[in-house]
Amino acid sequence: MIEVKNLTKKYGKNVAVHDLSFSVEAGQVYGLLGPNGAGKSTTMNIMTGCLAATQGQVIINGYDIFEEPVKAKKCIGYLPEIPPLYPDMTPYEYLVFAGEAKGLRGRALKEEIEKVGGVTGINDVMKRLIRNLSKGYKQRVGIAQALMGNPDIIILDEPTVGLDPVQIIEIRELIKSLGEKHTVILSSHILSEVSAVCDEILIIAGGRLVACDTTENLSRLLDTESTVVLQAKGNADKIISVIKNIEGASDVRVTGAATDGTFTLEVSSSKDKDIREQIFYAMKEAECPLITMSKKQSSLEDIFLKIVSDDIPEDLKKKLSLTKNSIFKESYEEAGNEKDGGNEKDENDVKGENNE
Amino acid sequence: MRAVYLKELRSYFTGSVAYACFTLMFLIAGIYTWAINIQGASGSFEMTVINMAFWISLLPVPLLTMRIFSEERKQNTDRLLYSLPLKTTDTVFGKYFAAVTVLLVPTAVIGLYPVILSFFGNVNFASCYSSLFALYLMNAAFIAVGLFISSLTENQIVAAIGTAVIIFFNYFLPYIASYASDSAVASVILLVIMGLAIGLIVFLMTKNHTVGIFTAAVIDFALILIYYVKSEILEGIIPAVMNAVSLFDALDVFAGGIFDITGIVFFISVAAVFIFLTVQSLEKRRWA
Repeated sequence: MIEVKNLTKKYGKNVAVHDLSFSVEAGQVYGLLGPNGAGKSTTMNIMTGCLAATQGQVIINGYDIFEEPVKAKKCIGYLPEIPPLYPDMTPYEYLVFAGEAKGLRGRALKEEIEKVGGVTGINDVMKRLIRNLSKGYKQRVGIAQALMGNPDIIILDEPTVGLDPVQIIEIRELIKSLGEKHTVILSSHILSEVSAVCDEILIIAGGRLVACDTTENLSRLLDTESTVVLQAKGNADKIISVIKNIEGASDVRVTGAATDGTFTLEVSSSKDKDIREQIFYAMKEAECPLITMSKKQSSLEDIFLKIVSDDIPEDLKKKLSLTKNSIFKESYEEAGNEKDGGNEKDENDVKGENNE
Repeated sequence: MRAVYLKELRSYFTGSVAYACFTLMFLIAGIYTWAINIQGASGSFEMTVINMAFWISLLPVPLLTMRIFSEERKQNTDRLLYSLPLKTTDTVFGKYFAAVTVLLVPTAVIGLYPVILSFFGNVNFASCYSSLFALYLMNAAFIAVGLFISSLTENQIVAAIGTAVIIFFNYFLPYIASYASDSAVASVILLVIMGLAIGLIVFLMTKNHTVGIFTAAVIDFALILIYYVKSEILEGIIPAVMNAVSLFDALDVFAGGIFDITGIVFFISVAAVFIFLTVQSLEKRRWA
């Protein structure tokens, strides 16, 4: 569907995107995640033909965006970071323009505007000037523009920035429903948004692709230990000593105490061991009743902070190289291939294979 | 092209730009017709056209062209134009023809003046309309210049003043030309400086030292060679060039009752060159 190959963009000496390669399959919602200035917007601008790349290729439905821009752009609806709206137009006039530019005429155009207006919920404001609309409605008009002409791929650059919580939820619902019929790529630096909406996550830091996989896979890969959070009644020292005796429990911490004599504790164990059952029986024996007990999920936030921090630890790099599409993959495969001579041609072959 | 053309026309008429432009043109045309044809009791409307040409270009043309691309850039809507399945040439031609269409309305209304004048005296319709047509084409050429200036900046005021300054100097070029030196030395010095300037522009566009220096060196070496081998062809080249690029000079011919095809071709070529430059300037911005 979309193939980005060895994309590099330089602004003078400043490298915004560095040798970025990934591919996007049909019918899924992708989240482009990264801190500010990671190259998310630049990548999206290049993919939609708004910017030229210094090097590399972007292929959309088989059309190269630089060689056959008109054909490639017909497959894409794009909402840039700042919605490109004409304040002196009404949403209707604006959608007429976008539709005509995408080759719609007459009745088909009117029907498409009505359909898109219904999906984005802007039919009520069609006759008002865009200048007078609220930010949420402006964003919707921008999304409506991207949807005109029913493109296969919809690219949204930070679609929920500056909206109020209700609007954010509405826009997320909208994006989720779009994901049923279209391929959606959205960028964000808000993690909860990406994990709520996206099937697959591309993490970019410093203009490079760091990881690309599903949310579950990423958290599974990056969890080094599992943590059980529990609440129990009794003497704190007794509880700690009981739990410490359980095989597999590596660390016990008291994180809180309540006035009714209950304590909250966190128990760490190795990743693949579930010690909840043992805790239950041990506590029963010690007559310290368990009030609650649950397994703590490592959040995407933790993963993200680990990944985008400047010095990524070696073992993390190794783990990330196992994800579908990662820069570390190459470095590890190359390291393995070194004995074969590993000249430049070989390196390119490795990269080529990873792109597929 | 159709989508951009219709959108531009709509925005001219929903905003105040087109009406301000009409008002100015009617005001200027009215004053000149009153002074020359009514006060001066003359049936020669072509003289009116030639005399009002300066003001009719200087004020309404920058007004029409200043926002064309600068506003898109300021509002970030240029991203939309780039991401829609439109060719850059479609966008530029759509916008150009919309501006030219807006200009056609007041020109057509001014075209009624000779008919009114003909009730009170003798009017030579052929020369009246050929000069009015030439005026329209000249303004169409200036619109292309304004279109290009507008594509260079995101500030509308800068775009308007830039276009007005070019029109202003274009009008006064023949006067300045009569004071310019016509010796071969002066010509070669000026042309060498222009060669260096071209080299600098090439350098700024390509960001490549070698290409820029090479371009300037080739041009200047050729000029100096011509100067030493056959210096007489360089004589009088400055005033000649200044006269040749004056659009107003080409318009004057029409007032004498001559339908000058070279003038028409000249106006259209100027428009074509600046439309081409606009396309290049927009394409270049994607590479920035």
